[in-house]
Amino acid sequence: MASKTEKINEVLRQLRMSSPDIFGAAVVSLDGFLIASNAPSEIDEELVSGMSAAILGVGERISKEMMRAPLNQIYVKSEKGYIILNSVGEVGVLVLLVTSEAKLGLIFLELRRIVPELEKII
Amino acid sequence: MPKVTIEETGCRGCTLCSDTCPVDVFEIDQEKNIAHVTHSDDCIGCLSCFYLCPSQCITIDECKAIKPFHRIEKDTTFVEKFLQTKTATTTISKDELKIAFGEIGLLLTSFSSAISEILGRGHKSVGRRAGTVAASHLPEMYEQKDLEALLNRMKARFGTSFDFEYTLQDNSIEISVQPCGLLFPVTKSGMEAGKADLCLLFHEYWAGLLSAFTKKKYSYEVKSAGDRCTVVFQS
Amino acid sequence: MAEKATLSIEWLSGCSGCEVGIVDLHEKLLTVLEEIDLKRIPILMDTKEYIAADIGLITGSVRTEHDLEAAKKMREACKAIIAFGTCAVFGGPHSASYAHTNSELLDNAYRQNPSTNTKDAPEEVPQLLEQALPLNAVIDVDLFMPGCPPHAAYIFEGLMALIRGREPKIGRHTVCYNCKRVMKKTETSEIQSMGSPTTDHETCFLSQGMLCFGSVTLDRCLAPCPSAGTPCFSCGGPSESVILEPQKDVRSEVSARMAHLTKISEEAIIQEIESQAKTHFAYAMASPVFRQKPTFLLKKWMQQSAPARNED
Repeated sequence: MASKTEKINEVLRQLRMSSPDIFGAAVVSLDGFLIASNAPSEIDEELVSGMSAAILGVGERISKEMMRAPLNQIYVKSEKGYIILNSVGEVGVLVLLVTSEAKLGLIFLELRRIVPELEKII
Repeated sequence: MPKVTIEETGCRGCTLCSDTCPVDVFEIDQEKNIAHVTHSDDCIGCLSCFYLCPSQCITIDECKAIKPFHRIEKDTTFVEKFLQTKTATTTISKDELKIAFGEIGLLLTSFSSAISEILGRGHKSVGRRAGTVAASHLPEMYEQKDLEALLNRMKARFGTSFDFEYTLQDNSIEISVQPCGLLFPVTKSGMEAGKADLCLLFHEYWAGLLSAFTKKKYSYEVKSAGDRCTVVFQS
Repeated sequence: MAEKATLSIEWLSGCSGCEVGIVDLHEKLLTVLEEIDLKRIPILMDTKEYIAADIGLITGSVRTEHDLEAAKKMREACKAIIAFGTCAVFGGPHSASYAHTNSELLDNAYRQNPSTNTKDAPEEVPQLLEQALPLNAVIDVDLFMPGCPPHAAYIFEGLMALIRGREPKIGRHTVCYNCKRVMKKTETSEIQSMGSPTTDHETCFLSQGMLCFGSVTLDRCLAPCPSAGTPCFSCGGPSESVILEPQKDVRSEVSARMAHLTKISEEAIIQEIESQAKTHFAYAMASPVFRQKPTFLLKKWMQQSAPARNED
């Protein structure tokens, strides 16, 4: 039986195959570990995991304070594209790197399919 | 009022004191290329000249120097044995230390509550990261040859505030402390030991420290909290 | 006349330069001997036992199993212990054992040394400890007298004060205090290598863009090197503020002073010091004073400068 990390890696690989606009994907845990990554370049995995967990935390807090509603998703628009963060269950965060030409609707549709799959594995 | 004196035989004329002094206590004698103290009464006791002087020939008397709680206490006694006199700034009493400890405690509990309030469950990663950052400031820990040596070194280093005991088992390290140095600030600000934001951050901080030193990933479980705190770290 | 105080000397891993330092007292040695009875001095007399004495003077660092035992025996036999010389106080040049492992060091000294014909390290001698230790890491020390060796003036003052039970007047000054070179601001914009032909013998080395560690070194020597034309390389060990202040470091102190006197940036000076860190910290890197300093990252600096060295 494949390990948890292998299974997640497989899901991430399929996700990247599904659209050429997705150029990076990673799953990190809330206490700042990188669980699996399919990112293009060398990153300080601990720092990025920490930042992802922190930004998700802020998102959840502000959504609750201002909208009185739980958080769905966070996206950060940068000059090169989008960074999309999605919580995975209680313990993880899925981070996606997407080009600025991407059709976000399609990406979100893909996410809706893939997040429950990841939740099951974790 | 602070009193500044300069031993002129030791002055090499670098002008660091006169260029740095915020209140112009010094004047440079261009002919002899040395500094004179001309306005000692203006001194505000910032000690910049005292530290910058390459010859260490400036003395500042009658000035209440900064309390050295950031210093390594061992080094102070070490230096006293060089000179066979007391170093200038060791007159810190137990009561003063207590007050300082209380103030730092207040600062810590406020910091940790604010971090948790803003970051929600993302606060864990902050504690963890703090451990990694702190680890880089403790190069001696990376030199230890095994886990036991490392934990003994940590005991020696942190003993004054966090006098812990440890037991090792396969992949886990059980750390227990009676009581934790943070118990006082935590209970004083009305929080519950083990559940307070500061406790959570501190546990994550320790996991971060251990992970950085051993290059393994540690998760943890709190077994007991209060007068005796026990945390088991699992790699 | 009151009974003379007794003195016992022991040498650990050192070069015997400290003993020569004591002989440098010249005729003052007679004054010392009027008040001190020299009970044991291995450089002159072959004594194996540890004789009870008032003052025990230990030179050299703790580098071998024998040193460890000798230090403990001296502590038992003597009322007061003086750590004498930079090796005993900070570990001395044997601190190289912090930068390299014993096998690396033995390889270079015995196995692959082009200038000797030994094949292996001697085994019938007391074996090396893992690392050199300053004396106070293994026994309690009552007085520290760094210097390589300490100047006779300081030895005399230290011993006399100890016998008479008063505070010695030895001060916290650095080497600059007794150096007669003049510090002045110059237009120098690049770091100069040591002994460049344009060296001016009246002006401070820092003003001329040459690294000199006098301002971070405790003066127990009366500045002989800069007076003779060589920059200070810190054989006396760190100054009081470098030892005491966690945020003050050899690099930050030297670079601040040099940048003030020249047009060289602090960053460039710090980088230069780091690239030769093993040399500049050679005398005291075994000491916890540096080992516990958050800014002392010797192994990282060594790695950073390693590729450059290979190209030579």
